[in-house]
Amino acid sequence: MIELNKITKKFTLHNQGKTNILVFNNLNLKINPGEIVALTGPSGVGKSSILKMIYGNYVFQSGQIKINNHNIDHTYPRNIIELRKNIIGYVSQFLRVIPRVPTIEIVMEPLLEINSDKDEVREKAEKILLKLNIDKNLWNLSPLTFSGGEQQRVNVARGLIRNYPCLLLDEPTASLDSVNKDIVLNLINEKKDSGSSIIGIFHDEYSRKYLNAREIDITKISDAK
Amino acid sequence: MQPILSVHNLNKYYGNQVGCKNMNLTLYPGEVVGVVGESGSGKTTFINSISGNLIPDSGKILIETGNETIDFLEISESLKRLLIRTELAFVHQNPRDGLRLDVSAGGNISERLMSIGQRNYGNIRQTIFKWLDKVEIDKSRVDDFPRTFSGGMLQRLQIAKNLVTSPKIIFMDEPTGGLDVSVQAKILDLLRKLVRELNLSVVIVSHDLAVIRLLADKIIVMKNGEAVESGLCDQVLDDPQHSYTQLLVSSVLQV
Amino acid sequence: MNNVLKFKNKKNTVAAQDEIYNFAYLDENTKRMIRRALIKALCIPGYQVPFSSREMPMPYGWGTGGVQVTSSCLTTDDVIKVIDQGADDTTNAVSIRNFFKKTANIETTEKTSQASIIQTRHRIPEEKLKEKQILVYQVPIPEPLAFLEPRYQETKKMHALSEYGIMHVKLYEDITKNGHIETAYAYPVKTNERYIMDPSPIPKFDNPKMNNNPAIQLFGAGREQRIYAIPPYTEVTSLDFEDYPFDPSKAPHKCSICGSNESFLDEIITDDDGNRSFICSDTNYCNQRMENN
Repeated sequence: MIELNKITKKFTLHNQGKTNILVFNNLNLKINPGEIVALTGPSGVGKSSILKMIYGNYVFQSGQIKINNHNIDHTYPRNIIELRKNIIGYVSQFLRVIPRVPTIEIVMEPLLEINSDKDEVREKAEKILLKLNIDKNLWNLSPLTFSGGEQQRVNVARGLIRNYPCLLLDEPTASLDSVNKDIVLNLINEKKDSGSSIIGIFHDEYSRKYLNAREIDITKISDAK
Repeated sequence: MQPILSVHNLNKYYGNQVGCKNMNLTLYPGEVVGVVGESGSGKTTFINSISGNLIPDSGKILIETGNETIDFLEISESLKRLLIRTELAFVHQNPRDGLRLDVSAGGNISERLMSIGQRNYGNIRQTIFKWLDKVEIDKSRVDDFPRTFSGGMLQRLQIAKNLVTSPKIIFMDEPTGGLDVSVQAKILDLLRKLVRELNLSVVIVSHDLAVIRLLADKIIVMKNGEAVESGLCDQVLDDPQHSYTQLLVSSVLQV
Repeated sequence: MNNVLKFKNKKNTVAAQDEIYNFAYLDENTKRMIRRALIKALCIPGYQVPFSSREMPMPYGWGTGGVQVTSSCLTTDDVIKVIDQGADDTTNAVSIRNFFKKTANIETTEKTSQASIIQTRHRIPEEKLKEKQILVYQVPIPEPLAFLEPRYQETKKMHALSEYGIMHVKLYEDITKNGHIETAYAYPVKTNERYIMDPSPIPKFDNPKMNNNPAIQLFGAGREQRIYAIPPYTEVTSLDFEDYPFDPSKAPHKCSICGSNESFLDEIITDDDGNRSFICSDTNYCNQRMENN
């Protein structure tokens, strides 16, 4: 379960004349287990910012974010690290990895944090890569040289290899062809059916309908703008 | 869970010059803390002061060994040195500072083992091979002198030499500093693997924000000897609050 | 022990010694200073005590450290023997023996059993030493860690804190290079389970003789200004590995003069064709065996 209560978020740009930008005011949102929420609204309205606040990348000035009853509290970074390890999964828009590390190892990594049986983890990673149509020949190469679509699928594989109770998805299907898009969407549905609380940004109507997502227009839930 | 290392209000002056001031740090087992800042910001003074290389003027450093809490600045010189070669490790920017160049690669790795009393050549040899394998140096190089090694290999050898006694806390000062980018990537990957496999607790100093983002869980941003901002690594880098951090983050070249 | 050292200043300036010199060359204050260092050294076996080494009428490297120690221990009743690589008749041994004959006018001998003080360079006599005998070693470099850790300050700390891991690195390197511990002389020892000590460049064959020896063993390094000691009946062990134990081996030959199987041998090249023979390095031991046969 993910809950945002009365969130205020603003950016202060110290090096640009201390400009204050108010992004959210009194933002409220709740995502239940087994539910998918799709954030909508024009670009620049702060869809990604909500995901980043939930994941702990962005601080917020007032209000409360609760993940399975744990508070996101930046005075205790340790707790956020623990939440990320055990509860929140995040599929970002772009792949950020160490150069020269093979694809298979990148996909294995999140699972290795909780499972030290390398062979078992490798098997699972291979399974999900196969499912996502990543050619076997690519597994031992770094994904940094892959096409945009392939990179995105590696990113999805890495994010979905584990069963997180809460899942954040930032445009996971943006640069995929329709076949692969359906595969990814099916994977997401599996996570939903297993009881995850999922919040995501999907650029196309098709994905949102396919996932049967509850659509939320941000401009309607925040007082800012 | 108890932090394995905590630093409270640490100060180090060079005469009237501030080395580092009012520094705090909490390091939990399995955690990586990055210390960033421009040259002269006091990063190296800080890491040297908390690792026993420098004696700070005031402050408190507590190390949790599992059965007791050690007040690092109050213990005897002998206990301190014992800790430094068993529970702590220091990886220098220049591997030549941390290795004995006229002793073979294996000999370098063996030193810490023998200093804690291992006296079986066969067993020591086995441990050396295990570590060469871990840091991806070919076993056939075990009896070669470090001077025949490349920069990246030297750094990996230094890491093996330091980790062989399974120290609890590792200090690293720009461990990828002098290396070209392709070698740097391999070292970063190695460090990440070791941190996860051995549940290492690391304090790493670097001016390279990309390195810190890939390795660190938490971050401390230093300027003029003081911490201007600290917190969760990607939060500080994605949503910096202090004007200096904002400047630092926006100064990074995008490739 | 007091009895043996005879530190009393008994009639030292009398007798028929050469009028120009004080008894045994050194002035009494210097001898007193050295004796203090010796007593401290005996109290802390293997610990290097600094002393203010004097200019001696011989070059460094000729045994100035040993001579100063011997000089400080000598009394008029002493009988002195001097050996160089085991031999009584080589230049260094003869010169030092003459030096004490001239400056102290005391009795000298070549017989190990009859000497009360034996000054030696690079050997321990084959004949077992007894209580009330003193063996004085000439030491070139007293610091066993010197070749591994060049910073003197650091070696002092390493001794103080028993940080001796690096000593075994040297032996480790030996085994990896040669399949066995190659160090054949100046083989490092641990005294009384505490200090690691350089036994001076004696062959490792002699190392076991240092252990539990009834005699007093004193070490003097003149140029490096250090004195150290092993009191009687002190445990002295040679460093090694469990699976590569210390081996006090010697050349697998017999002495071609006396036929001894047990003594340490010198290799002598006898002609230009490279023919060689082995003879005892301890001349007194060899001669006595010949006399007894």
